[in-house]
Amino acid sequence: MAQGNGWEMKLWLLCLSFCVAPVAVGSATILAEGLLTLTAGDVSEIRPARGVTREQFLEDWGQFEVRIPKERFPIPAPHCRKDVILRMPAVPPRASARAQQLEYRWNLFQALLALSENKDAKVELPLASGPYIERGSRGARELKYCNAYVDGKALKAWP
Amino acid sequence: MTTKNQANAFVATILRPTLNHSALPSEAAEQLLLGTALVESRLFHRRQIAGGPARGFFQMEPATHDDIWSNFLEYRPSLAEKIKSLLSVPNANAHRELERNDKYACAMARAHYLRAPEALPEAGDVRGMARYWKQYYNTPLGAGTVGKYLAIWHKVMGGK
Repeated sequence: MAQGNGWEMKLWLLCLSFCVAPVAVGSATILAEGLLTLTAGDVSEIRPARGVTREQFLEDWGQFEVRIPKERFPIPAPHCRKDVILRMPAVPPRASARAQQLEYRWNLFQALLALSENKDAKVELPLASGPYIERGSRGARELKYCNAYVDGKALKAWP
Repeated sequence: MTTKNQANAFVATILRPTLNHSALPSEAAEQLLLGTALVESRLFHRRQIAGGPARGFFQMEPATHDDIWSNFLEYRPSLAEKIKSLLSVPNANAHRELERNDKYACAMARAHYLRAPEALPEAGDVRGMARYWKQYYNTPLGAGTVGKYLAIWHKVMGGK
């Protein structure tokens, strides 16, 4: 084996352990590639609340928020007092494949509401890398305020 | 709660004079800026609730303010001069002015809307204004909704 291949193997193993192992800062887990897994215990509130109709949900362009206690959110939020607000971005009227995107969001919203009824259930969401995420004094990512976002573009590629 | 009289006074003393000063007079712009200020701050909050970065009645973030100067007003010297002349003193801290100088904040909000690729809705088209605000000012990332804009507008200004 050539010398270069040894380095490649080490780099690959390093990447494998880093990329696959969940980073467990809070109770919700996040994979290095940005996939957030939520269970019932990670959610303190969902807005809009359970009673919202599908029609109202679509009128608000499919946006919603999940409030997560800061100590359970996987990225530190030192400037946040209580909950991190994880927001699903809206789908504007002229967005491509808007109907499919809204349908997907509605189903995801229902799945999040249903978390409280099944403690073993999980919902996975791709976490956006910004805005309002910065490097702290030790170089680790942290939230600048209390806001985090679902990566709407990554979501579109999902089944 | 803001009253209709207070809202009308804000139009008469801040919005209309600022739009005229900026050579951008328009009834549609007055209505859009009033709706923006109502939904963003209720014409009450000059700082963002829960400690966020937004400032003033139009709740513009300093980063947005700076981007408008760097990537829009930089190339429109005539409008830039008019807006600069609204600062309370020539070398004022612009981010503080956003919070306390309503005419400067209004002009920056109007400049923000000038960057939108779509024309302003017609005056009187409240739902169109709500959509325009959500799309181009609050943006899909913002917490606001078209429904929230309409509810606040009708609560303060009446009609439906």
